[in-house]
Amino acid sequence: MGYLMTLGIFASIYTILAISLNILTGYAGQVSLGHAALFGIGAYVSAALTVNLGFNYWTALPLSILITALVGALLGLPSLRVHSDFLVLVTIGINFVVVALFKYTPFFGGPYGLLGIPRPSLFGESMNTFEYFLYAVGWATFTILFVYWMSKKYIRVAFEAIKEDEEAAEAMTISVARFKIYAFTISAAFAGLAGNLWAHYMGVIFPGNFSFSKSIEIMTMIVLGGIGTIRGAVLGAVLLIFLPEYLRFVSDYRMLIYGLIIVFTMIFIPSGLLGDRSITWKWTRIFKKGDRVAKNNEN
Amino acid sequence: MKIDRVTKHFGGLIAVNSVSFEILKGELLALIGPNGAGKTTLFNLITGVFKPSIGKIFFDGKEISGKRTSQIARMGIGRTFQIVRPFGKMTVLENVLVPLGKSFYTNLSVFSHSPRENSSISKAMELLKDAYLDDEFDKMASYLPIGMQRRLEIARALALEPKLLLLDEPAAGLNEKESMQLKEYIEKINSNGISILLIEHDMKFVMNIAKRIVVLDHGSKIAEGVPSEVASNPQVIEAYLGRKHKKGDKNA
Repeated sequence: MGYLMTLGIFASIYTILAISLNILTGYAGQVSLGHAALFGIGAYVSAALTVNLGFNYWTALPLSILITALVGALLGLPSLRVHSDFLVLVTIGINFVVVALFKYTPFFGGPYGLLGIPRPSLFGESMNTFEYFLYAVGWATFTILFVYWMSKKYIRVAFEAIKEDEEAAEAMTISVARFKIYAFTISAAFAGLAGNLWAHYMGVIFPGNFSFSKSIEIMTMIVLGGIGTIRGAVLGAVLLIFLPEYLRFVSDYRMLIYGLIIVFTMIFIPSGLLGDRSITWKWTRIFKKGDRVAKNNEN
Repeated sequence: MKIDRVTKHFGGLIAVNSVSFEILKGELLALIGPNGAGKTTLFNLITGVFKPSIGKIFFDGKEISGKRTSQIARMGIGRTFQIVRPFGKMTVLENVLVPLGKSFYTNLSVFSHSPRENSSISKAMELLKDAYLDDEFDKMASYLPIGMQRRLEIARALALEPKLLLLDEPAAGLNEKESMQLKEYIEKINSNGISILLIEHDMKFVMNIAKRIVVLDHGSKIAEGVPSEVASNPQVIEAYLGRKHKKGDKNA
């Protein structure tokens, strides 16, 4: 039961991560293969604040989110100069640089990482696994609701516009620079939250936890689930956390499987399992079509 | 809108060479010239895609050269593109909803206002109706035929409530019927008091619609005047019409 709870915590954390990458890549079209760097910054900032500087968890939480968001805004600056495939290379580079910084900075524990990261305490007692599970699920739910709400507002329209055509977006009074930075900042804030949840559950973090392969893992989740949708991000995160635990062979060839998932999803189901216009909806098309005709007749 | 001795060079190439002219309030001015004359570069200078190397551009009494495209658009200059650029993966309606968020994009109200409010939708549908596109509102923009995409781009620009509309070859690639429809649409817009600057290759279209014409050749202005004047200007005939005739006048 405790093990299942742990998986539930991981699934919640990765749901937050996948949704956060989805804001950046799915909504705003800025492909990042360095998302684990932001995850790591959230984890390391919170760990260093509590372990090295003696901060209380509840102070470290907002600080780690805020600092990651600020770093995210800074890391967004290159996206104002470079586009698409070049931006992907830049984000990969950033991932390696950030991991190296953790590794070579004594304050961050160097290659041995940071140990003894405290669990948050509630009413004077630190959370047990079950409580932490509820806590993580709570944050994941908050993330889903927040991003869902955001996706109904004009911010989503602006993201969609810069994703499709930057020059046309500018002609529509949308400042591409401003909204790219928004996307990086919001995305980083949630990645920071995920990092915080990870660090304070694990109790120990290493630079290797946030390497490039972790970024690939997060990208695989949103590609498989369906890029640009919240439901896809959630499904991708849950699938890729639970499947390897039940299919042992998957876990042995983790990176190979992730690679294959990306390749095959891109070729055969580019909008993922639950993306807009994906195969799942095609199977239910008959009902939808009936719907649409009825709607058109009304108008 | 006033263009004051604007020059733009790219390295050694002079794309626009000390060009000056004015667009009067409510006027429909056409900018013509052979390929490579610098028309689209001039458009990009006006809309802030490029910055003039020398010279200034004024709009409504304020200098706009050097401002960002989004700021210039906000001041009241709408534009379309030579190669159509609707947001292809959005529906026709959604395309027009994008500019209707104009007042939210500069502040945090982007987080609180929804494009699905009834007032925006009815406003958008009205604009689509004027563009003869209201029947296509729920179609994906990229699936529309070119003539409709052109009108969609114009409707989208009009949603900004511009004072000046820049149209970059709106009639290119259109058939006779589409072209007629477009002409009607443009004239209707102009009669509502919106000034229009039109780049066009299709001479017949220009002569029919423009009140005044500016001719560019090799980056310089070579003539300016009413259509009949310009058409009989020997320099223009040599630079533009003359050469076209030799090639077989594909635009006639």
